[in-house]
Amino acid sequence: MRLLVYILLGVFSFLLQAVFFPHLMPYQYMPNLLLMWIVVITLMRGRYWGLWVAIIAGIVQDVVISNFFGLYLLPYILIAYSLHNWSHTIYEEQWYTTVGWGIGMSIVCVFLQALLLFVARESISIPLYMWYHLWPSALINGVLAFLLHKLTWNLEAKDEYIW
Amino acid sequence: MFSSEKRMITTVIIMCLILGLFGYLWKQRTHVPFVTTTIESITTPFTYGTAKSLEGMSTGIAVLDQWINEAATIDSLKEEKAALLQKQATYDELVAENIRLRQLLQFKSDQTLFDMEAAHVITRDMGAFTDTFTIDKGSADGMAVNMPIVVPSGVVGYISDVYEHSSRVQTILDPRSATGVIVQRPESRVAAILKGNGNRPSEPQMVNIARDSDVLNGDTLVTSGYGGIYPKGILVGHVLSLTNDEEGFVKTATVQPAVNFKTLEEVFVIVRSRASEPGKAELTPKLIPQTQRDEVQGAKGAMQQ
Repeated sequence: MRLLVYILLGVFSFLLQAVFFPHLMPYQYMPNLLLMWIVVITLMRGRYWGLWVAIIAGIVQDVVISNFFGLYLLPYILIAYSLHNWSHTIYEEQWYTTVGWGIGMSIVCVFLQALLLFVARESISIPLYMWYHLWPSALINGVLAFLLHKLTWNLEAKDEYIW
Repeated sequence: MFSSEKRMITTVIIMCLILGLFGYLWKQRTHVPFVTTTIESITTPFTYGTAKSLEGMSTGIAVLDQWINEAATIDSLKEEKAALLQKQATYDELVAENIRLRQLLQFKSDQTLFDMEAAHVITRDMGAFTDTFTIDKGSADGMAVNMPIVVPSGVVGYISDVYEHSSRVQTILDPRSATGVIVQRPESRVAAILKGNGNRPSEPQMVNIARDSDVLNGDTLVTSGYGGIYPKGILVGHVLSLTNDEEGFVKTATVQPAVNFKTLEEVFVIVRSRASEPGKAELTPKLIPQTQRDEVQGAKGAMQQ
């Protein structure tokens, strides 16, 4: 039941990311909902599920939404893998911690993307790229992280209550 | 007996006189103000207060009655208003769509040199290095790779991937795109390449322009036709600013695209073009005597032997 809910939420998030957000948000305000899902799932359900979400979201974003293979997939996998290690030292299962991790991982993701593009010899300046793609979208990501935290928390609590 | 009868008669007479006097006074009441004024002064506050209270009560009852009656009316009016607002929003949307589609239709009929197919934008890829979107027409509808995408305001991009029922369009804003452009001003006609800007996706750049080339701020750029993807003469944008390269040999122009990529909903795919391709410069490999090596010289730099 819970898995089905998560799958439906994933489909809904994909539609939001691919259709609604680009239509509603100006370029620099474009949030990354799929990344926030990875952060929240990794924090709340652990590395195994976090990596699964990262792989699916990365492939969806690289192949279905965009057409630059690896630009999202690689940072997502690295984030899901590392976040689990880091989060044990700081994570307190409070919404503000999730928001902090959400904003932090937004910065890490854009940095990794910029680094990847730089290594691929694309003509970008890493600081300029990061500035343009982080401000203010990282803050919007924080708001999304808060909403996803509450949603996941309720889902998990309800599921524990039922079973 | 006599005395009692006499007293009774006297009493009756006195009573009659008193009644007569009262009658006379009543008749003459306007001429006897000390009576009426006094009575009025005493009674007026009471009568006024009572009348006002009754008036207030009746007003209150009327208001309450009206409020109760109107409460039901307000509810139905609210529902009616919500329905009307919804209708208005639908109407506005239809009007906007109508205007947009009329513009597209007009554009399509104006472009006699191109066979065009209209398509809807489905998903968009924004917020990272790439700048692409998908349309709802694919190979089943005759779409093919490298077909140019345009809208009435200018050039959008080209089809980079084709699937059966959808296609991916790589816009001119994508840093991987390179569009051949030419300055429209007759005295300039400088040709160069427009590339997407990875750092600032909304500001593509016309790169590698020779430093002494005649390119000015505000110049209009159109497709040059070189490269084989875009037909010649489609509006691309305007030059926003010019910056010299660090080495000082070339300059770069930042371009304001003519198309508002944010609001793209419908686009045209140029399926076939009857426009003549620009004449290609004749390049013949020449042997450079000094080096004795085969090197191809461009049309401008060809050495005359």
